Amino acid sequence: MKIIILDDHSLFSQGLGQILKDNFDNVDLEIYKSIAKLTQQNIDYNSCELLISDIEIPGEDIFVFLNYIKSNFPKLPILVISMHNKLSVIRRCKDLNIEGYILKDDYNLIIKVVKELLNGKEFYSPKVLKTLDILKIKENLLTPKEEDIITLIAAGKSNQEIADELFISYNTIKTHRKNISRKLNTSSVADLVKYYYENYL
Amino acid sequence: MIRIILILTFSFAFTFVNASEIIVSDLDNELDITPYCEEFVDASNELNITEVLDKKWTEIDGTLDYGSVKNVHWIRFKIKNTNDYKIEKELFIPYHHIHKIDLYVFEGDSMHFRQRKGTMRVNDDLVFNTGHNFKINLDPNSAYTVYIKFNHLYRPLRATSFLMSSQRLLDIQLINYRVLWFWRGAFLFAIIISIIIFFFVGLRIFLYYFVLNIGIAIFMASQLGDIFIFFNSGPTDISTVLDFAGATIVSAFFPLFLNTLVKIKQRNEIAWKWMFGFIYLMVVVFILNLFPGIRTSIIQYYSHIYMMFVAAMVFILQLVFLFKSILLKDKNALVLFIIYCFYVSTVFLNVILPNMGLLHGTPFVYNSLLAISMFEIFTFLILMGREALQVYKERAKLIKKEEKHQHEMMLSIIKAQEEERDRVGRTLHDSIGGSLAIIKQNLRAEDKKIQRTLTKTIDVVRTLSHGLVSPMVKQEDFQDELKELCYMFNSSRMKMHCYFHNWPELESLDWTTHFYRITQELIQNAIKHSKANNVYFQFIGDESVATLIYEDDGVGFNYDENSRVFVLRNIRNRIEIMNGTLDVDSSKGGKGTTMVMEIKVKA
Repeated sequence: MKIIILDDHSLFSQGLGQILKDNFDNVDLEIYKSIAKLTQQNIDYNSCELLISDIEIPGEDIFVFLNYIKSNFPKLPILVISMHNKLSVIRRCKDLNIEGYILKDDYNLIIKVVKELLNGKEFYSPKVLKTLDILKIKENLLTPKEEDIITLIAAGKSNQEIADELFISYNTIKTHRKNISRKLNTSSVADLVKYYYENYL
Repeated sequence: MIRIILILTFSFAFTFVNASEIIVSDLDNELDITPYCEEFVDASNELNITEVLDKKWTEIDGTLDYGSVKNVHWIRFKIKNTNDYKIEKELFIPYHHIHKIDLYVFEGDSMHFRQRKGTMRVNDDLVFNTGHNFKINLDPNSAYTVYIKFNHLYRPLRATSFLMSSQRLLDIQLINYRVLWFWRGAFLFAIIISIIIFFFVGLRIFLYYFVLNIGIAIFMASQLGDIFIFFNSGPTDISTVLDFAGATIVSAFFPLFLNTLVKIKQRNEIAWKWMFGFIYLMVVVFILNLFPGIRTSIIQYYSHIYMMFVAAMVFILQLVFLFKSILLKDKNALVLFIIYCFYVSTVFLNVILPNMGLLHGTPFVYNSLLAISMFEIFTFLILMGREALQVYKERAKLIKKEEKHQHEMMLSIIKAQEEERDRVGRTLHDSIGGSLAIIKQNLRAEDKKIQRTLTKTIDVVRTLSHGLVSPMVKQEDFQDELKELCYMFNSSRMKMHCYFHNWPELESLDWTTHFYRITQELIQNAIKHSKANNVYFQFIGDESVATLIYEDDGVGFNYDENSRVFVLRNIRNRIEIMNGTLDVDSSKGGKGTTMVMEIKVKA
């Protein structure tokens, strides 16, 4: 079973290798410190069963490499082990259909995740999934204040009247209106009123 | 004043013409009759017309020019009409100062005082601006003698006399009148403009010019009779006081005016000192002359001589310093040169050329004077405009520089702050966090309590360092990072909302960091102070503007002029660095807070 480990911290990769050797049979490890060294080797990725990679390798763009692997060898499962629980990183991995993502302090999950991935399943650690949940949050198009304003616009009130009624300054009302228009991609009052009748009545 | 004195300085009579009878048939339309007149000096100032007839008269030539020594002058013209028809003429006597003039006409060859024709006396009230005029009817083959009494006590006199047709005189007077009014307008304009510019620009040269013009105005108004017309009174002794007052003002401020025009290092020091010495001595003389007791004394005679001397000296010194400034390529040299040319041409047109007999028959010497002073006014206006513009430009430059400096300072403060935070954050994360992790590894499994505390501590350190370490948010990650930041603080008590719409790419990584920090601080504030249940962050953009709108439904705070300095300082600094605007709408009372931050995005 050939496993490639890509991590710039050799202590980590060696330790990880030891854990894998202890827990799996016939582990054939190849450890690289950088993408440059890895690509020099002309590895036959088809013969590999798992690629374990860090996400932050100094001076190199890991995503370009991961994208290359994913598009050329879609069958090779990739496990990202990173210290970053950052939405931006996780989202990119998700977008690249990377099968596994755990954090470096999820040390109790390492065996589980390797097993899952070798079985052709996906595995993201719970902490990572929680971060990823942010993407699922759907916000309303308009905030309550903006809803108030559009209601008053639909009632035919002028900016000044709205300002008086909501105790907001005239300028703020103007800004709000501008932003409502931008969000709804329209500049006409008629469209705003139409939107109001379609969505709030 | 100096100009007028110069006229006196250069008043030399060159022509010698014998006084004799003027034959009207020789005349076309107009005649300068001064070369033909005779004069009598009444030192006592007590003789009347009948008493002077038989006195000894002397022939004079050229312009009637007298000093201001206590005197009364009588002038006599003999006019003869040899034609067979009647001629109607106007006699016009232009002069430079308002004087009392008494006028008598005698008809016949002999000097009979003809009751029938009567004596004509020009009332003081009828004084025209620049002279006297009256009509004489010349019968066929008759002779007339015109007697004029100039009472010019204590004032210098320069006068000429003309005989011309009524129509011609009217035309000249009309033109003269128009020129005069135009000049007055221009003068008033210059005065008003200079004081307005002074108030706006605050450069002293304009104040000096203003006062200088006021001085000239007083002087000229006295000379032209404006003041008497205004007060509806005849020329009295007060006109002398006004003359001297005007001259004093001009003399006192002219040097200051010149001072501001020429740079110190470009002056000829010796010439400058002498000029100033003369001018200020003259000011003293003028002030002395303001007192009637002194004025009527012999001092005035000497002060006039002194004035002429000073005028000549100043004339020469100005030439010296003008050449100096041209040599040194002063930026005002050209304008000063033009003004000096006007100055010289005034003297030539008004004094030298007429006195050399080259420029005869200019009945209104003030015409050229007014025209030239008008040119002067406009030249000065151009000069002033240029000065004002330069001051304005320099000030704008200075303000810009100041702003840039402030901007840079703010930038460095923010940068230092950012670096310090980063350093602390990294130390916290790498060193303390690392040590804690090792401690945790080495703890025995039995110490559950310590394990828990330690896990918590590690979490706190991580969160803390996360907030401190410079985020360096990439453009493409901005949305994710900011969303993560917002939702990280989601709790059951305070719900966070984050909305993105068309968010543009910002100018630099610094800018994304600014937005990250602003959002961070807004969240901190919301947690600490707002007591809000909902906090909304909206990141909305279009082609030109990126807008961050913060809203909450909390208690609000008072954001007025006084608190503005302290509240949100960090946020305001960062927005200012990005040349953006911050609009805060909040007040205590629970209607929540809205903040709008707008930053221009380059297309």
